Amino acid sequence: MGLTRCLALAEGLALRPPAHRVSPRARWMWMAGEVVYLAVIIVGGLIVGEFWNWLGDRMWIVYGLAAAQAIAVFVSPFVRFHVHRWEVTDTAAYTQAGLWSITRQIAPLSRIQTVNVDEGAISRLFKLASVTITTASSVADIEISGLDRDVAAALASELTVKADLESGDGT
Amino acid sequence: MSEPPVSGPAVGEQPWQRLDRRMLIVEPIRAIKDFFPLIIAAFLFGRSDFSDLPWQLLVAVFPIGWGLLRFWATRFRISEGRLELQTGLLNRQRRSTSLDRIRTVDFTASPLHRVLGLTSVKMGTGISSVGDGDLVLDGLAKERAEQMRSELLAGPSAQEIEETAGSDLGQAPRTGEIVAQLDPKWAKYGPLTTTGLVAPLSLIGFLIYLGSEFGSSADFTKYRLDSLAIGLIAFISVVLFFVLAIVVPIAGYLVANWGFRLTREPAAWSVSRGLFTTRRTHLDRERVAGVSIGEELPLRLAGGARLSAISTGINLLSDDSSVLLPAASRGVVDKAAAEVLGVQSPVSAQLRKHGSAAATRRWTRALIPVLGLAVAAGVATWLGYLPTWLLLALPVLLVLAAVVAWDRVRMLGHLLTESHLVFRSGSLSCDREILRTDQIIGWNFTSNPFQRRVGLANLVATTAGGSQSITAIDIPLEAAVAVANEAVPGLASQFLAEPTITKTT
Repeated sequence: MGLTRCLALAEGLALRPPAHRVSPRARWMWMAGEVVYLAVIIVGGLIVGEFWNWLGDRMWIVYGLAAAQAIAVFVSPFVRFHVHRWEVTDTAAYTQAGLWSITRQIAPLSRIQTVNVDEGAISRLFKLASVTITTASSVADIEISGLDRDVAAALASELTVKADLESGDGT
Repeated sequence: MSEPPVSGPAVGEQPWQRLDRRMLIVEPIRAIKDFFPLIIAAFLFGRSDFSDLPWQLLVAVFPIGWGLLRFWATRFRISEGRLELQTGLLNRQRRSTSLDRIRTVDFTASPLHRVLGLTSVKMGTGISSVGDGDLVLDGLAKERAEQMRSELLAGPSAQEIEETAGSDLGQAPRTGEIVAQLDPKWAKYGPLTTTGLVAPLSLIGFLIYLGSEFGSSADFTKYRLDSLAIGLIAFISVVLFFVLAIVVPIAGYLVANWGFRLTREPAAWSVSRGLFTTRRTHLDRERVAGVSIGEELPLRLAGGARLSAISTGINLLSDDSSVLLPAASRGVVDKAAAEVLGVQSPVSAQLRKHGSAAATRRWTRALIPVLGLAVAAGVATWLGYLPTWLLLALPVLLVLAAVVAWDRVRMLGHLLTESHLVFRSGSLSCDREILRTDQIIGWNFTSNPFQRRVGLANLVATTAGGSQSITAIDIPLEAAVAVANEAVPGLASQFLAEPTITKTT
C-alpha cells in the first residue's frame, strides 16, 4: 500500500476481450452503411465534377476517394465484426469497439443514468438494434451496435433492472 | 402503489416571487445598451429636420419598455424541494430543478448591480449537457441572495452566515477561513498564462503578415517608405508589443482577480474576486471531485501555476467558475491544492513515468511534423516559391519542437495514491489532474495500431465533474489495467485475462 500500490500488480496484467460477439448480420448492416457512403461519394463527385465542372481535369480525386471507399466496403465490416464485442455482468458493462483505433469501455451499472434502444433505418432492414448506456459523464456513453433486435431488448431490460438495484443519482 | 396526482394544487405550494424591484432600474439601462446600435442608427439616419422625431423616440423608448416587461415576465419560487424559474416575453420558458441537484452558486455583480446593492445568482446543476443545467436569477438583493445560497447549499453554513449583510459582495463572509488571497506580485504571471500569450502572438502574426505584404512586392519605393518611416514602424511595433504582451495581461489579471480570496466555509469553497464586476463562486465541498493544477511551460519556468476544481455542477464551457486560484506562485498553489483535496501526496509526490516507448512517441510526434515541413519548405524554395531566408526559420522550429518534446517526456506521468488518481501530460499547456477515486464512474482504454505495436494505450477515467474525464496519454497497457483495477475495486477485476492466456499471447 501507499503511494505506489499499483507497482506490485503491474506485471502481466491484461484485460481479456468481452465475452460476446455482436450479431453476424451486423457485418451486412455495416457493409450497407459503407455502400451508402460510397454512393454519396460517387453521386456527389459526379455532381461537383461533371455537372458543375468544378474539378476540371482533377476528376481523379473523386475516383481515388471512391476506390478507397470501395475497399472499405469489403474490409471494414469484417474488421468491425472481429473487434466489436460486449459483456454485461451483475455490476458492470464492458465493451470493445473500433476500426483503426480500438476502445474498450467499462462502466459500473450503479452509475447508469439511462438505457436506450435505437433502431436506425439501415439496422431495421437487418432486424438489428443498438443499445446505448449513458452515465453522468458525457465521455462515458457506451454504445453497443449491431445487436439482434431481441437480444437488444432483453439486454436493455436486464440493464434497467440491474441499474435500479443500486441507488444514487449516478454522479 | 398509489401516488398523489401530479397535477393539482399541492399542499405546501409557495407563492411566486419576482426579482428585486431595483432591477426596474437595471433592466432599462441594460436594454438601452443592447439596442444601442439600433438607437444610434435611428438618429444618424433620421432626417435632419426632426420630422421623424416621433419614430426616433419610439426606437429609444421601446427598449425601456422591453426591459420593464422582461422584469414582469420573470418569476421564480422555491417550492417542495424544487426551484422553478419562469422567463421570457414571447418564448415562455419554464424551468425547474431539484434543489439537491444544485452544486454551485455563483454571485456576479456588475458595477451597476453593486451600486444598487444587487447581485445576479447563477445556480449550476449536475446536468452534463452544456448550458442546459444552469438557472440564473439576475437581480436579487445581496442579503436575499446570501439567504438563498444558505438554503440551496444546505449544510452547517446556513446558520453561520448571518453577518454578511454589512460586508461588500466582493469579500467573503467573515465566518470562513481564508486559504489563499491575492498577492499583487502574482500579476507578473498574467503575461505567462495561455490567455496572456494570445494577444502578443496574434500581433506577431499580424506583423509577419505585414512584412510579407511589403516583402513580396519587394519594391519599397512604391510605398514611399524611407528609413525614418521604417524606424517609426519598428518603434511603434515594439511599444505595441510591450503593451500587448506585458501591460495588458498584467492589468487584465489585476482587474479580474482584484481582492481574490479562497475561503473554506463549512459546506463550500468560496472564491471571490473582481475589481469592477465582482464575482463570488461557491462550490459545494462534497461535490469537488478533484483539482487540476495548470502548469503550462512559461508559467512553470517563472515558478507559477494555476488551480481549478474538478466539480460537478460546473459547465464544460464556462470553466470560469471552476477557478480556485488564478496564476500564483507554485508554493501557494500546492498548499491550496492539498487543502482542497485534504491530502498532500497527490499534489507533491513524484509521478510514475510511462517508459521509453511513450518517450519515443513524444519525440516522433514532435519532430515528424517539423521534418515534413522542412522537406516541403525545401522543395518549395528549390522551386522558387519561397524566399531562401525563410529556411533559417527551420532550425529554430526544430529546436522549439525538441524542447517541447523533451518537456512533454518529462511531464508525462501517472500516480495512484490511497484516495486519488493523478494524471499529468502536456508541455506548452500542461495539467496535473487529480481525481478522487470514488468519483470515477467508468474507464475507457483507447489504442491505435501504433500504440498497440508498442503496448501503450490512452486511459480515460470518466467522471461527472469538470471536463467529464481525465486522460493518461500513452500509458503502458499493463500499468493502465493495474491502475483501473486498483483505483476502483471490483470493477475491472472481473474482466482480467487469465494468467495462462497472457502467457500465450
